[in-house]
Amino acid sequence: MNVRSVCRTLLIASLFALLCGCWDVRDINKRYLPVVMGISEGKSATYSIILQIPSVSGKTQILEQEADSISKALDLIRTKAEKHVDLLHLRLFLISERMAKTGLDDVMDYAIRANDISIKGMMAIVTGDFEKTLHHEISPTPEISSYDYFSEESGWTPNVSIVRIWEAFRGSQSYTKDLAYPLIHVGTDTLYDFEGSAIMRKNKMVGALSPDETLVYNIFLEKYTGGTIEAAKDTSVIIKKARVRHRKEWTASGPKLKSAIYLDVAVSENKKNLPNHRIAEEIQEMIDKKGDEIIRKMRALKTDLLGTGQLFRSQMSERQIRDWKDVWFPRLTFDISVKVNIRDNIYFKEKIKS
Amino acid sequence: MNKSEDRDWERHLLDTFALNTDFAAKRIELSDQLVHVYYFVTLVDLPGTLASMNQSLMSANDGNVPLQHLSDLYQIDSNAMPEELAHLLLQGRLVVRSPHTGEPLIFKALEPSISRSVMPPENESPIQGAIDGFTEDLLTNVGLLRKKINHKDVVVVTHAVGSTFCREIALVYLKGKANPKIVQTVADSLIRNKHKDVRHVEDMLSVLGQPKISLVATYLATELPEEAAQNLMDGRVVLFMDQLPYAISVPAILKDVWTLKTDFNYPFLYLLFFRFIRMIGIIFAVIMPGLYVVLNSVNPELLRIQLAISVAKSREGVPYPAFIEVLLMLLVLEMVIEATTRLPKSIGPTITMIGGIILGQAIVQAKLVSNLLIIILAASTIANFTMSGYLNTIGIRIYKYVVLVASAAFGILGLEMSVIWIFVYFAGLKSFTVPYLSLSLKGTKTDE
Repeated sequence: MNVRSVCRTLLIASLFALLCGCWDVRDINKRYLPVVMGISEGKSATYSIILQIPSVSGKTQILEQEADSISKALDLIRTKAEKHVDLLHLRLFLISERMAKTGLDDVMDYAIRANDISIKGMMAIVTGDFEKTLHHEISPTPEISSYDYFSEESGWTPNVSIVRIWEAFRGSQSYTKDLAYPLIHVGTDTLYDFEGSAIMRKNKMVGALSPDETLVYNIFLEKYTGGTIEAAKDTSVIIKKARVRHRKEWTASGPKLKSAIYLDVAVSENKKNLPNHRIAEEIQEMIDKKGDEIIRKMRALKTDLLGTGQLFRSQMSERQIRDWKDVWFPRLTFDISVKVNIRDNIYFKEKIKS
Repeated sequence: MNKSEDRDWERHLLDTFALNTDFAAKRIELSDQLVHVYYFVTLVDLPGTLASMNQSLMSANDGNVPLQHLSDLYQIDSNAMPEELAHLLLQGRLVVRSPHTGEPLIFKALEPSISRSVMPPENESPIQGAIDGFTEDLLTNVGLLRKKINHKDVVVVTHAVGSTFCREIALVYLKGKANPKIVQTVADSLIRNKHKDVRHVEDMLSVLGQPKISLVATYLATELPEEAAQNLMDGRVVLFMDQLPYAISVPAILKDVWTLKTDFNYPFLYLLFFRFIRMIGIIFAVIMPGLYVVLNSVNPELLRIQLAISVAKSREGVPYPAFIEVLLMLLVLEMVIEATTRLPKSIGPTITMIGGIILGQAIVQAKLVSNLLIIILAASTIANFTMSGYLNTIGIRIYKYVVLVASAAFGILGLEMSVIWIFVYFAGLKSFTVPYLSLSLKGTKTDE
């Protein structure tokens, strides 16, 4: 090795000294890794922040703080915590219903802007007693059930709507689409009970969908597969596949939309031995009815929950897009039709007509 | 014939080896003629040699066959320089002074039985393949190789190199398969550096003009004639050094890290499976320790939360930062590997057991390191040895420290960077005119 290469090596080695920012890394056991952040209005300050920190033993540690801003509250939590509070693993934001009704602009801004919060995290609104829901523990089920409830790899079922932070942010900024956040409530035998969905307009909660309506909402967004619906009193079917096809038209009187929902279903229970076409009819009728209810709600609240405006974007001017929810959406002629294809009726052979 | 009649070359020999008690200058009767012979008693079996020489002389028709015409079987060289004579003597030849001309005649002599016979290899364990291994004797080795590859185009060229130490090096290649450029390079450098002493493989690499510092070996060493034969078929040049029971094949390319030539003794699917496992092993061996540091201290957000919690739990109470922890354990592990490598077989198990207790249980119970680290290190060490060829494992063993340091400093980006870095290094590496990253040695494509 000659002098030059020695010099070069030393120079490269000395660059490590400049890495002061990278050397003060904290080991994983010196960090708190909260998974759930609860945000509600505080008693003495604007916000009350609750962090749920899971542990292997099954106990959930809870850190609470009130402050006038979210980051200040977190700063105070960090001050009192004996470990570094790391929000990198934050997966679920629970927001109190009252807070959601007054508007979530600050929360959304914070969640999107904070560098250490993953925008893949999910949002939900808690009805009823917020503190009680956040402190609710069902031992000995370990640690992360609160997050698992929404996790598509574990506890999620198609009845529950999922809203990720980036989707929520997109929804809050969009002229042509609104979102439904899941509404949950403290559970009795499990952590949470599902209450339906909150209808959001911009960043405010303006109404609610019942669980049944949420189901149709999910079907319309092609998210509902693998779930069971009760068609009639004694019949239930499993939805194997849902597709939605839209036919749109912009007429002089306003936009027209015909949406056809194609459902592939399998019969799972059929106590009265109804023939296939009857089951199909009943499902159609039920979804039609629920769909109409949703549309009525949407019109009343001037929220485009199903994102119909998205379909017309290409046909609208910038101005029209901005006015969609106020001017054009109320004028929309919206028609939902359902086509059901029964793939198999498991053990219930259709009787051959004599 | 008395001393005064000694020729120059005889005096030179006597002067050179005057201090050696095993050097013998004798007067013997060979086919009714008194001749002077010079040899080393430790290297030459004189009675045996004389007996067979006499036999050859008898078989000739009349008893007056001049000694110099004795037999092509025995005579190998006639007019050699005094220095060369000394070398030849050291190689176990018999030097006879011609009774007529006084010139030295050199005969190949029978050796006393100080070479071992062909045995299964010590350090390689072939499964489902030929199990004879190379020995120390050069000619035996070349013979073994020739037996494995019955091909008329096999070319064997022997070179003697060294000025103070004489070493015979045999260069074997398969004409038509071997890239002529490689053969030319190797042969040229052997001739050009004829004067250099070759005692070790490293000396030979410098004779062949290989870089002194190189992360991966630019040659393949094998004890198995079968491997060497396959190396010939692949277009490599195989070099034998006298008294080295290994065939050294040059050049090595990246593919050799995960291929064994004896793989071809298996069905193709199995071969693919073995090679896949070895490739995975390489990746594991290189990145695991670095990845541990990345996930534990720099970028824990990459872990799933469930895993993050249990990892955090396993590190509870560990006093050192992850980087120091890994470095410490890696060093202990390297020491165990190094200690067990050359231990007598009777002590080996003791070290293994003590190492196992230290690394496996006690150190975790003492909360010096986390038990996850033990798993990581064990996995990475095992993965390291899945690679083919002992030589290749060492480069990877060294490189994982580079990965570790880069990971500790720059996190996952450092890990990626260091993996890219090793490929950049490979891309710049060229041995015997062949780029290290080429996929075959046939030289049929432009990048080979």
